[in-house]
Amino acid sequence: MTAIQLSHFTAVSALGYGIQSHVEALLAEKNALRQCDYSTAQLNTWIGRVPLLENHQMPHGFSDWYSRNNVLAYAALQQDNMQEKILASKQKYGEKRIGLLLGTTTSGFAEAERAYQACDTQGKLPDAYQHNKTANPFATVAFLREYLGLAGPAMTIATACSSSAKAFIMAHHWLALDLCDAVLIAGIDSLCLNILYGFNSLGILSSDICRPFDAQRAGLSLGEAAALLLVERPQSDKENRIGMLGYGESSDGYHLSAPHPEGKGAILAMRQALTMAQLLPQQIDYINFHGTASQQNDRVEDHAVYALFSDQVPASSSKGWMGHTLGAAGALEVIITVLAIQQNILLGTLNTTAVDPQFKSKILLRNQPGAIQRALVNSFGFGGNNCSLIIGELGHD
Amino acid sequence: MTKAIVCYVNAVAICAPGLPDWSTASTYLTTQKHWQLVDDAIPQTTILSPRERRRASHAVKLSLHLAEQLPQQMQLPANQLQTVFASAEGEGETFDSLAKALAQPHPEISPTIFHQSLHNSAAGYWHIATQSHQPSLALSVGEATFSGGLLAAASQTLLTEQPTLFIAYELPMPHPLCFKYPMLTWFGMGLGISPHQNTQTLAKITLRMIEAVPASPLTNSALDVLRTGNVIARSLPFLEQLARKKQGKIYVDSLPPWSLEVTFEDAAP
Repeated sequence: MTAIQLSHFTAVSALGYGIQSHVEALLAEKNALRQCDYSTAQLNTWIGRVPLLENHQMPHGFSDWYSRNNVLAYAALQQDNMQEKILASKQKYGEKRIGLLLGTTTSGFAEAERAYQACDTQGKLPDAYQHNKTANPFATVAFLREYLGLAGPAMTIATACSSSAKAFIMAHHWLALDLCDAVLIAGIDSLCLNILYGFNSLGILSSDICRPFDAQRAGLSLGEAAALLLVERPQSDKENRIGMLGYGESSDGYHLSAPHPEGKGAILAMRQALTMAQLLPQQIDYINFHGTASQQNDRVEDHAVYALFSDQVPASSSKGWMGHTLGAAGALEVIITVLAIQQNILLGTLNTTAVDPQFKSKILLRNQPGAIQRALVNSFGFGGNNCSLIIGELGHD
Repeated sequence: MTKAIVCYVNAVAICAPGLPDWSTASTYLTTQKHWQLVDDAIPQTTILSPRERRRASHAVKLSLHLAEQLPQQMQLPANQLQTVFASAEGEGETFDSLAKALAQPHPEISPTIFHQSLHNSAAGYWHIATQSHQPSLALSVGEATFSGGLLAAASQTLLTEQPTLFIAYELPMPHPLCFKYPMLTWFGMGLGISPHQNTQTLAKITLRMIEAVPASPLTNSALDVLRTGNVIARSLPFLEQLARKKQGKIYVDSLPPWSLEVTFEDAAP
């Protein structure tokens, strides 16, 4: 396939605001998880909460768009000259030629929670509650499109935890069909009571800090993040270009909230990504697992990765750093993988002390130096929705 | 102007109050027969187990009822079709029950309600019921969800050279959310889209994004109240074109400043 170039990116997560804070935390192997102190949640679990996000405000004239998701989006635009780069791209291509793709799971659901708590005695929602601007699935796209003045195609993809990974595939389609010249990909999900109590109801939240692939793993730590990437067709004037070289997607067709026991869908997605990138398994230098630290995900993902890559490719999960950021995870972990490529480092799996003895793939516990030319990033979601992306250096043309 | 996206419509389904199936809807779309809002129940899907059917949301029931009509028309097994599920709000009913539960001092949420609240729960149920490993997408483009979803489904068909099920649906919100997102009634439609023509082909369509123009009207003005009363019912002029087997262009509202131009061509082999 024709690769797409990841031209500029930034992230806000529990690790902090902007790329530098992410690089520092990754290199220092320092996690940012803490015991749950989000809002009124009374749950014995750990979370990756963006520090002091509550102090942030919406830009002037956009206060009625306030939601935790939208303010997180706005905070991310202010990092690493992201907004300037988007505006420069607008200058270059025209606002109608910049697409916008958001991957999210719960959008700004926290605003709905606030509104329902404030219902009057007749059960009427407060007048101030702006459902379409804050909480519905399209709300953050509508905000970004309005605020940035983008006029290209736009869409929310909501396939749960594979949402923003799937956004890369749609971006590739849009560029291939010449619907636009650049696409802003945004993976954004923010903490809300819904996801905390919802995952708790599924019995897969850990009361301990999350320990992906550990024999003692006991479930997820949830997180929140905004990961923004500006992608375009390969530009020959740039150096050290990194892009998406291939992708694969599949469904498990098995269970809404449990993976296929043999990882059939996961294997299909990874194999398709390799085929599309015209690569053999041994040409992958690093795998960024979905690696949520749930009993089932980690067991099945290890099985699926081993089936294709044997124990030959170093692999790790980033969830121990900032938790599982749900719909943002795909885009955030693409960025983390790009940072690993740039820093020549094979990332470890934080918080994990001993890998489950039943696992057979090459799981790294600690960071180690290592050159990565091509990496595979896995994102698997509820509904059995699998997506694998291959990220790597673009060839010189 | 952008590149043209060409594909074939090989199957169609519709379901809305007073329009329970394609044959009934065709009558309304090709004549001046008077349509009025009736209190039809959302139909049941046959593809889920009795236990799942009892628990399924109205959005899941409606979207699966539409989806299950298409593979046979396309003469393809259901598990060979990739899917695109499009809805502006998705699971409004579940959204409401979750928000109500979470407003309690000690929230208790059922795991079933939680995973049903996901925008891709209908897609998930479909792929599980059909044991399909094909990729699936669940999306929202707000008011422009029909045109955005159709464009996504057609793009995917063209680029993967694989047939696609496209399902679009929208259901009214329960009280009190209904005041924030008013809607006349529920509406759902589905298309079987293919890169190839076959004996079932209803039309060859070419999609193109163009500078905004007024949306194409319906010939039967009695349906206008429905067309403007549900974002997915913006598909009615598209469906009229299929029902009338007409050639020529129609325009569907898209995100400003765009319209989706759809050119229908005769699909005679």
